[in-house]
Amino acid sequence: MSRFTTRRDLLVGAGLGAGGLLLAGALPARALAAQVEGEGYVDPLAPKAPHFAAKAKSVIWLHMAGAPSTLDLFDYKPQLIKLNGQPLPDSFSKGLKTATDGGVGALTATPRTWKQYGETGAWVSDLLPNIANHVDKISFLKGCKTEGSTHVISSLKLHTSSLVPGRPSLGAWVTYGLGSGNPDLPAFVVLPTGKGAAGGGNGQVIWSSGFLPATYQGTSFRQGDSPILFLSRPDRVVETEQRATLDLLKQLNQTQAARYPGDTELEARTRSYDLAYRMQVAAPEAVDLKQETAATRAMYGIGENPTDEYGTAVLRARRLVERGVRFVHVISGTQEEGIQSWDAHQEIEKNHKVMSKTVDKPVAALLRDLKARGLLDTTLVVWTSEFGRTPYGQTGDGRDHNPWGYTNWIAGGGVKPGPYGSTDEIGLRAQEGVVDTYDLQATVLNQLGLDHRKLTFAHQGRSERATTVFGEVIKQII
Amino acid sequence: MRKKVWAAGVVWTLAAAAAFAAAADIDYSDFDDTLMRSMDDAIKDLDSNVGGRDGAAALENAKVLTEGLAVAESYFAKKAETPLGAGYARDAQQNLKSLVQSLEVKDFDAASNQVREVVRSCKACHQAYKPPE
Repeated sequence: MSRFTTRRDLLVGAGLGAGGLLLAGALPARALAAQVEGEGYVDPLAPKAPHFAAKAKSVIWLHMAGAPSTLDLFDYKPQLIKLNGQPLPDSFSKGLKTATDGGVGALTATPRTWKQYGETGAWVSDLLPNIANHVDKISFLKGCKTEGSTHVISSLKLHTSSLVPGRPSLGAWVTYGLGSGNPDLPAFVVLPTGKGAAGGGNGQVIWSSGFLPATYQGTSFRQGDSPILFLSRPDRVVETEQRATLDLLKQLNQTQAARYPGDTELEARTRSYDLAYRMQVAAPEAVDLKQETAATRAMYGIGENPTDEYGTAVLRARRLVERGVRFVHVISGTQEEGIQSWDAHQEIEKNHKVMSKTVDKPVAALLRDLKARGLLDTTLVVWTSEFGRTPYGQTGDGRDHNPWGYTNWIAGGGVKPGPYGSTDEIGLRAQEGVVDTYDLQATVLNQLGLDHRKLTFAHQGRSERATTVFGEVIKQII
Repeated sequence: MRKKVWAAGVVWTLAAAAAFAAAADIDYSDFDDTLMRSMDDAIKDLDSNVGGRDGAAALENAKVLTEGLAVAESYFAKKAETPLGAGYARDAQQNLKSLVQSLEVKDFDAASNQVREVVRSCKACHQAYKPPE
């Protein structure tokens, strides 16, 4: 930012600032925001038309951090039960680098009981009895695959289409493509739950804006009444004082902006102050669950263990999409002692019972609630993880990472319910209807009215896309 | 005729399965890594340049790819463990030929679809023959 160059400039600026002080609190926030829009300035968050008619307006991205075993949740494999305790046959493992620190144990059947639900007849295990009642809203992608075998690398690929940090996350691309649906809230919100690394889903690189402008990155909300760190006014500053400070700052910035009309960074900075000011009111309201009925809170499992924290996040997600937030990334975690995420290299039974109980009731409530409010048609709910888990055991009572075959699912937003694709007979490798993470991203963008091949950003001489050179829309489910 | 097609399908499937099964054990140390990286860059640039309707730059990228794929075809043709590799490389070159024709008449929509076909050939080959994951 440029500095005042003479004492006269400074005095002029200060005089304007004093005028701003007198106006403190007199003008509504929107009017003030409108004032700072200089000629030629393009608001990067202004709403943008999609490439074609959109089915969905928003995405709730349910990131099951740590990677659940979908063999214990959605992918029923009778053959695995028959082969329980036997070594992994070569016919299934050829071409795969299966050995890890824990070694390749014997094939391990799930001890779960299974039933088919709904008109679509989707299989769901007894770990998810509530989600099971909503299968007719869900398109199960049962032939998913990815790359990498560590959480960080595969999380990066799932969210940014790259195995190394530096590329924008899907939420950032969506925000870049469509702009904001509510100028008083961030367009891309992240709701981490749990503690430790799992609570961040392996860090903010997975909700980064990468090489896109920083304005498109995800904003991480905290639990509690004040969702954004440092957003609240300090206790010793009253509202009129804060407004006066911001007005003075604005006037000074406007004076500078008049001298340098091409300085969009200054315009953006001025607008960011006002956005923060408006968010002080809008963000706490958006996440204030006291405005929900007791029945709604109970439906999400709020006020009981272990669903309280995750249910709170998921209900917040619903409130945010209701208010026009484009992309809400909810990261699963738990406060349960000794368990951070779905990552069950040991004691998978204990782990998955806790994690399933944590998410089952809230996710089912979300689907029911969105449907009842007429929002499911315009909201894509995506259940996804960095990979799945192996049909063979590890360390006696766990399962290892499995990037070769697992299940993700999508509900709402114009997606057809029912199963699509499959893994092989033991659930190790995707076999039919194979869906890579690029395809999942292309499909989400498609439902939002964005052609993943046309949504581009020039970076280092190349026209970059969310899905790199890959990605096919899964036409069979739309 | 139908029997022949069916039989060909079976043969191809068995060959693909055999290729896939063998992928873990293939030694690629004699393949030029730099060449593969330059092709990786070229396909990304090609996609970008076709999208940006820069025909001249896209033709340059297509040339790099065609030359690289010719080397890959010859490499795979000599390798008994990769019976489908040469075919994938040939498919990609064929798609590149069509792409070049589209670029020459400035039909960027067709060229964009042909880039996707090239990518599919690349992906199919990497699925079958890349080193173990």
